[in-house]
Amino acid sequence: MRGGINTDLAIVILLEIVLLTVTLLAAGHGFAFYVQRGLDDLVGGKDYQVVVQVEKKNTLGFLHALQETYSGREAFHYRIGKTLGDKTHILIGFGEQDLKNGALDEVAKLVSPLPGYAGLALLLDTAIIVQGIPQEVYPKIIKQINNWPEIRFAAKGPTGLYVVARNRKNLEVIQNKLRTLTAPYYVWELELTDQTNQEAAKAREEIEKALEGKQYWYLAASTEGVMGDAVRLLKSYNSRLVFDKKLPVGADLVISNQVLKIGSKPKSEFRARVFSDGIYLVSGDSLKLTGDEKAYLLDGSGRLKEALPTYRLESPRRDLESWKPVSEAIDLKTSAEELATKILQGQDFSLLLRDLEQLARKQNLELPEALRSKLEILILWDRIGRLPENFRADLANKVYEWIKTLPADPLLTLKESLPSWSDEDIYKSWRDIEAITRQKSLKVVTTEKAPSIPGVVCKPAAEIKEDIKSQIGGVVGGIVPLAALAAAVILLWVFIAIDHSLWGSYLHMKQNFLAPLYGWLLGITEISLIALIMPFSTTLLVKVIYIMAGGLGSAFLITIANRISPLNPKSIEAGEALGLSKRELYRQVIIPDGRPGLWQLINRRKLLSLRRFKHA
Amino acid sequence: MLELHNIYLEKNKVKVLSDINLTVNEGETVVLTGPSGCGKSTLIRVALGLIKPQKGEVWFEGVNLQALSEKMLRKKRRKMGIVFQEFQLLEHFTLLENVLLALWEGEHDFSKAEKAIKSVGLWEKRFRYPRQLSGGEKQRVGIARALALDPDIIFWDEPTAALDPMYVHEILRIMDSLAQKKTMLVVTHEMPFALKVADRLVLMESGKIVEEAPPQKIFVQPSSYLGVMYRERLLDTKDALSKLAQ
Repeated sequence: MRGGINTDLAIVILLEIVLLTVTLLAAGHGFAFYVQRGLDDLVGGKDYQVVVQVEKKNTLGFLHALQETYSGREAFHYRIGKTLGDKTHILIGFGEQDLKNGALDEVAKLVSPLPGYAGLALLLDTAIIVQGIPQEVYPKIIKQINNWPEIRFAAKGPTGLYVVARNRKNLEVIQNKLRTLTAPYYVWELELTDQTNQEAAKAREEIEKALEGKQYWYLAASTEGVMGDAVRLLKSYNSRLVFDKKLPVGADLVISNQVLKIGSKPKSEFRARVFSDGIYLVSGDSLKLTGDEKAYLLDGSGRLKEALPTYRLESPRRDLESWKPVSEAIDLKTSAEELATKILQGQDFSLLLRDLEQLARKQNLELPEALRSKLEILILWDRIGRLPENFRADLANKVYEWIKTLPADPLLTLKESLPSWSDEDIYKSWRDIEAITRQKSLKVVTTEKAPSIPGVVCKPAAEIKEDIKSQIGGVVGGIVPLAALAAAVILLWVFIAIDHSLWGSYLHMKQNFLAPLYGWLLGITEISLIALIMPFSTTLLVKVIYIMAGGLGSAFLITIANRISPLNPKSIEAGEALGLSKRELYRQVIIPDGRPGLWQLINRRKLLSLRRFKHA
Repeated sequence: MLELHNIYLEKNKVKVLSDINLTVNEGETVVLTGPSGCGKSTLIRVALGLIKPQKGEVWFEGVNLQALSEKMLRKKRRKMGIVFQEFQLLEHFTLLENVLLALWEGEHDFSKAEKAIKSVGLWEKRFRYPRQLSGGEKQRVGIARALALDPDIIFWDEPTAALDPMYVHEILRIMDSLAQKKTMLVVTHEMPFALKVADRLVLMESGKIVEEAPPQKIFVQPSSYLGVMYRERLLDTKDALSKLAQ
């Protein structure tokens, strides 16, 4: 192989590298564009931070109301995304200033009352979420973070502090900076044994005492997440007793119609307890209370310690009596039957609640708050797996019974048909949930590093990690170079099979055992070059794997070159017999006999031509 | 013109040619024959320098081919023409281009190709591709390709073996006419042709030359068993022809 053929080979390799690069770029950018767009529709991207599920039939109404709600905010934008079932996804994006000003924190509050609303999720790409530090310190931290050049913005979200990076490369730098920034906050953790668990309140008091006079924040696991929601809801559903006097947390009270003797052990159906967020009945039903009863404080042994001044009742359950439908319901039967079917089919209660709201709205009714509360409790019961057996069937039956009562006062009938709990029942449930969610440890976040309490472990308070949505974006970003390289490697193999297998076959025919080495070197060289210049970042290991795969695949293809592009030995013999040089043998005999490819393309100009002959 | 001295060749440890000594003088037509697989075609490829023997020398026009560089050997090869049994035309070239290929690395003289094609009576079909030609026509292209080089010697490797009988005569006629002007080494089983045209007949068996003499001598008084066999075959042919004449 001399002179001309080497030049031809070099041109072919150069063309291949150009085409491989073009393919790599097209595959990478194309893949990134389509996959990212598909993902954006589902989980958003850089330009959208919130996805809202909207009932399909209410989409236009929702969008109209959304525009009204956010009118005047210039950077507010939205896009209609995918439709899944009877729900449409609307992607919402805010400007940086809006995000810094708390748009993420307020979006649920602003969007949830809009018609057709069926839920939302935050979608923050290339974002770090910081959890575990008290919300009180967010403003101070956000102010500092917003000066960092690596970030787009930092903002408080519903589940933590979001820090959105300008690009993925910055994530690690930001994480390191956040670690430094949150380093002054420590969490003191006390493992609760069976014994200490029973004395959780005492242990908590001990910690509180230890921290007296210092800045600290107490975090209770049971006040977080669904369980926390359940407890909060139950507490708000329970009647709250309000006294003018401040009472110690953990103290027990007795409410009675009679005047009781101080120091005696009282027998009363109404008992209450002082919690950190209010005083609630723990036995008895607040519906039976008038607010005129006497209240007494108990000591640790259960005896009356002192008589308390008058109290008043703040009970959401009062709504049960005050609600009246605003108009008479008509033609609810079909919708109600659908609702009963959905209950039986196991639809989530949150969706059922929305269905019910839609149902009421259609009939120009308002859903009573107490009914909403009851259903919300069912949502939580369902989610923590504490709904009684056959509950759904019973509830569906109640809905059917309700249908029979139509059209008079249907929602009230449904409300009354739902389980009715006394404050005591609610307290028991609340206690059950607390028992389920009882933390294995007590946590105090503080700025003090060394705890003086035995058994307390101190560690950094902040949990700093990439947001899950960001991770999805990262996975896409991570797959792009793999897809691009894969496309390039496959095209390389096509080139090897089409253009170079002929040369491989020729080497085989001449019993040159270096043929596979030729393929290997060629594959390695071409893929290495494009891996070197490719604009998608990936690890060296990934590049090496693809380079090796490209090389080995090419070597294999050259090894079986005889099968891919078998040479015609008779034609070659004829060419040799005519005294053709190897270069011309290759150009005039071997390449035109092979598969159409780049080499054949550039060889066209070098084929025998009449114009090159004298007297032609 | 062509001398082969003590040629020895083996492939995959099997002896293909041994003790081959053969001379073809200028203007002479030597016919090489023998049973299939005895090494006739291989001997032609050795003579052309396409196959290098393990031992022995090939001299052409006073030059030892083994001593030549690749480039010089290719140049020398353009002084030799060969007509293959299976034509070995390039399917992607037209008839004309197949013939021109012989001149591609030489003088680029179109008139030589034209003359060669006209000599085999195919000028009208010069733009046809091999697949558009009959077997006899393909072989005539093969002859034209060999002639285009204006070779000093033409090797014929069983040129009629792959042809339908109706085309054999046509090719033999061309060979007959060329034998008057060119030095030729012909591998063939056509004994009447050998008897008529050959100056010498060389009989090969199992890679060796077993008899070499003018054909008339071999057919009258063979000195080898192979010679006897060929004489019998020729006599049978004669008998058959005379019976047909009656």
